[in-house]
Amino acid sequence: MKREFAAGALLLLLVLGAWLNSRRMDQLVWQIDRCLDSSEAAAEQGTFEQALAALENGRRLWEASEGVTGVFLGHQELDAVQDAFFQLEQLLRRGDRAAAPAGYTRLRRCLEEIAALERLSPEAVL
Amino acid sequence: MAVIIARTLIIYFSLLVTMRLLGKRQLGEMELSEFVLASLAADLAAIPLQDTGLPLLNGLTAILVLFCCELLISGLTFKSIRLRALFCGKPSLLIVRGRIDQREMRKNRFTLDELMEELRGQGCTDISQIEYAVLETDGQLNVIPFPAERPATAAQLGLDAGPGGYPTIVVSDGRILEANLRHAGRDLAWLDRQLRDRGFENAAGVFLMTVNRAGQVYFAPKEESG
Repeated sequence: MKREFAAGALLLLLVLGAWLNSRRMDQLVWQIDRCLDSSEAAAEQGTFEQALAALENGRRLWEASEGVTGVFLGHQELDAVQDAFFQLEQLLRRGDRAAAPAGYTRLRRCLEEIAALERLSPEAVL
Repeated sequence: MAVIIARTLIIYFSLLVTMRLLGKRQLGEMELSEFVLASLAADLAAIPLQDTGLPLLNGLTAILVLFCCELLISGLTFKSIRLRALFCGKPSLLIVRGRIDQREMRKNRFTLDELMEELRGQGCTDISQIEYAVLETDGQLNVIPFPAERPATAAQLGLDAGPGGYPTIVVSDGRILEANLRHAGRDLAWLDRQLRDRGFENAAGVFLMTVNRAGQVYFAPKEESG
């Protein structure tokens, strides 16, 4: 029965790893979201330098986690987030107040989709 | 990752139930859970191999989950007769004392043509000579003739069949398999004598040499290539 116990333990380990990974992903998205909140608030007030700095903080958080997220996520999802960061940065550099909200929405949606990929829900499973 | 685990478990158990309902015929020579594992594992491994944009972990996680499920199910079915019947099914008697059990045939979706084909394959042409035909849980049909129709054994005939035993390979393609030699209760000196008796200096020119417990040697020299 040693092999069966080992298989059961491995299965439990995988489930635990999946749960931890999902939590880690949610935390990462939440942290980046906080950076985006402060960036968006600064952009609304027209202080684009501050908005860019907050966005850069969010990007740094994302890039720091890429060693792990790269193992779990497909290239397509990773590229979509990088692209959304880049597009938003361009809008802020141009000081485009009208288009910036759409840029924030797009980046938040990309991050939320990634968190949802790791979250166990009937929609994701089925 | 959690989604992959959940999806793999759902697909694994759905396939297990589906194949179980389809009956034993579909299985070939594998047990049900092995068949499901074999059907899924190859495809799961191929997807991340073909699409380099997908993380390898997606495929590996699913394969690991399947591997764990297979080990757990085989362990549980080994311990519990009820679970064995649930996951693997029970053998079905398609012929009992020379009579075809038509209900069992229908239950297992086994046609008369298939039954006759299987019987012919086992050298039986007359159903009345068959005491039992058992459709095993791995899909194989085993045929047991009435005692009067079974071939007589040496013991029944009171004959001395002589010593036999499993032949152990001691030289394979010019290489001496020392572990096998020891297992056969022989040593290198014995091998050397055998080779010399056959006109060989060493084992390099031997393609196959086996010996059984009774000491009977099968010897095949290498043929000239080209």
